[in-house]
Amino acid sequence: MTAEMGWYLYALLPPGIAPSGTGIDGRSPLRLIAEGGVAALASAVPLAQFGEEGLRRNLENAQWLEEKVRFHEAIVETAQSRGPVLPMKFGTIFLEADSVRTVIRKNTERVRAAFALLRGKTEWGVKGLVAQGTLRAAVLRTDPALAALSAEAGAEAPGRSYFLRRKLAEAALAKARAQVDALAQQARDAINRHVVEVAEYSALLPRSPEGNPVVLNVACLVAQEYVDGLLTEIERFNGTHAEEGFRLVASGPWPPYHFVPQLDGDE
Amino acid sequence: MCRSLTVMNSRLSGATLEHHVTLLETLDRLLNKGVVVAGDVTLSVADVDLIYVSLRLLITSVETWGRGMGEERP
Repeated sequence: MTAEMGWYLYALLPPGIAPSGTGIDGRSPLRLIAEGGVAALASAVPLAQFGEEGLRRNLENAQWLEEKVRFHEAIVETAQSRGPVLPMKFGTIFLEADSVRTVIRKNTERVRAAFALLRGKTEWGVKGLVAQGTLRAAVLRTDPALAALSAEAGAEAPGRSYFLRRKLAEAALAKARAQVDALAQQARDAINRHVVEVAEYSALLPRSPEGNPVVLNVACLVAQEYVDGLLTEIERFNGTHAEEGFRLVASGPWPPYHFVPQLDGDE
Repeated sequence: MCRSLTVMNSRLSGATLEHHVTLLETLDRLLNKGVVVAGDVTLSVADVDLIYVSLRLLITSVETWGRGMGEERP
């Protein structure tokens, strides 16, 4: 290792089969840096690209970042197909392999406990999206009070009708909002029956590409034998609530990014 | 990557939406979650706003696909 190289870490895993393939730079071979029953999946990277200054510059380059993110993810997924993995955050780089061993030594028990929890499980993402126009129409159609108000607004003289229409729009909006909350809670309850652990977090983008707001965003830790049940539950939920414009979108299996411990570094 | 997506009635084609969702979910996980080692032992990108970086990349991607789908360029 020359002064110009560092170690890029992809994941922690139980030691075993030597990894094959190349690392995130597309050249250096994947290696295991092992210590006391825990191995770090790593590869050497040039600091010109991955050092503090180089990385900061490269993060400005969308094409570079997308390519490297996909490399990182593909390497972690390959490792996950063989056993439990603790995926590292993107851009975790050590200058010395010895520092990696020190960190593993300091956190061995924590890491082993995580392996035990994560074995045979994967992460799934579930987003709840609502088509607001569809939901509003459903609310107007099905809520008796709103339907009555709508009929009344249609029958009145123009001045009074305008007032009633505004009242109707406000009532429909309030009702639609309450319905979104109720459906999101129903979705949480349905999902919870199939998962070990759930992490709810705010979505990176508040809307889907079609412009529908993301009203529920969760990461789920799911045991292998429950994955089919979860996906079936989601399809059933979507079938039941299609007319209300509420839809769940699942993605996975992912490495368990939301369910890993944080590690102590310094003394 | 093998992703199972329960996507229906989308204005976007399935493949495009899948690409988008996959990139979105990937960035969300790799750049914002995963094992972090506390302290100064790693080279730090902590002072880089990775959420901002993620958003910019996503917006670039959406624009690129938009053009691919025949939308007008500004």
